[in-house]
Amino acid sequence: MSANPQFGFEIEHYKPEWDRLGVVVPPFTIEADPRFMYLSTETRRALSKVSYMVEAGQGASVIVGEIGTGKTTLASWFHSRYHRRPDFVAAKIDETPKKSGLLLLRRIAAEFGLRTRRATEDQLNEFRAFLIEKTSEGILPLIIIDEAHELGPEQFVELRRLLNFRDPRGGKAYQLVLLGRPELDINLREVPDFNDRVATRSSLDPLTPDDTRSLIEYRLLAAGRDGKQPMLFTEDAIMPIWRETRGYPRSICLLCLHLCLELLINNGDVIDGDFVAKFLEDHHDYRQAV
Amino acid sequence: METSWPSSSKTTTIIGRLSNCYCSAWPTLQSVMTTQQNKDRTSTLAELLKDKPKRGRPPHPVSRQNVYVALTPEEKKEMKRLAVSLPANLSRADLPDLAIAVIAARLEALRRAVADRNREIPEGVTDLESLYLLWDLTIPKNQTERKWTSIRVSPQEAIELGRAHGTLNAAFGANRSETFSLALILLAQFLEDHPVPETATLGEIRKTIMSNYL
Repeated sequence: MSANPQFGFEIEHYKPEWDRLGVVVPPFTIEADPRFMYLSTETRRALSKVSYMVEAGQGASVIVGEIGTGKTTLASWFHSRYHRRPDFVAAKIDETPKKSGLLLLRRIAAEFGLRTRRATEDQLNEFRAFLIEKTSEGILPLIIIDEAHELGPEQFVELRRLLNFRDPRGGKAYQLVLLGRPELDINLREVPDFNDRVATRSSLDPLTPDDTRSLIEYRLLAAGRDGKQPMLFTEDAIMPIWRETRGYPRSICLLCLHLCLELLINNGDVIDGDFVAKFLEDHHDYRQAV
Repeated sequence: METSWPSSSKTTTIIGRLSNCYCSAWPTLQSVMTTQQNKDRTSTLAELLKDKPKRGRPPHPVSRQNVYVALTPEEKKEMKRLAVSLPANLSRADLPDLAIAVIAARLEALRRAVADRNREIPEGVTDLESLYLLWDLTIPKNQTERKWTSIRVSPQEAIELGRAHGTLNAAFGANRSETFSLALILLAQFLEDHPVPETATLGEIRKTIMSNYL
């Protein structure tokens, strides 16, 4: 296996000594892991508003954000939190089937552990029976759809029909959380019937420099670094990181991951402004390195 | 005829009781006389304050109790600003009652919204600041020093403040001052969204608050 020309070692065989940084697990993974979810002001606003709407049984909630702003992490958070509660049953759809309303209903049914049917009406009847059964037990079904900007008009029609279901005894209907890119808002305007049922809209904006610092500190703490230890990322390292990543959480994590690896290779102790500047100069195409 | 005197011990007791009675009555008589004289005399301070309302007290009679909270200078300024927007027959001293009425109504609305769930506060409201975000309030900056002060609240509002404090303390560890600060910001939001008529009384504003949120 050849060595990577960027780093001078075999990446596949390289095992970073994370304990040298005082952490137990890698702090800057770019996977959507709710344990590492840093709650910025915008994220907290979205969480509080959407969870209020879900628990108050208001129907549909929408969260929009650009790529890498933490939508999938938020979707995982909602799923993990509500699925373990005894008064909720949650289904999370990560990738929606293309265009077909029936396929979408079948995917949701499979997530709830319901029978999948060939006809739309039969599938909807399954959902109706499931809703009645669950609400009689005091359980509210919650559907979380990530990448919802890919939903087509026909799929929105079926989702609206789901939202229309009511328990005959006056209980609440299915709760729906849609997360997607800003195109989702544009798509929703084309389906006014569904759009009218949206109870709250939130947006996830890129982080501010202060939030960037907090995210880095939070991730290090969550990975096991002792808060009493000296700062791994100094104050003057924050602005270059923020400028390079424009405040997008995923980009921040990716750059910080590379900075940590570079630090371990160089046997350094601290990541400061000069270190970041030199890294960006030497490895400007670091995104393609791994 | 031989007079029968009470036994020596009985005599001592009676004399003792009489002397006690005189001794204890004497200062009382004295004080009654002094009070009477004082009443006849006109106090200079009373004359000075005759036509002026007492500071910090509403013009209408209320029995209020002191509650101690720590407020920032900004919050005190905000109270002054809010007092100006109140109807003519209400004063700054009525603000705590109104603020507590608003927070009690908002928390009750939240409780009712999630009544059939197993929590009082929704899952995503993870801290006190999330509550500010949920209600579209500006999160205050806690850099300035807080100073203890007393607010006077009506008995029912004192209970409501205790209840709100209890809920927020159990959920987020919030203290009474933080609860009251939130109440003040909620009141400011309410007064901004629902300007009160110039002739409204405290009871009428309370009713408006209830009908708006519950």
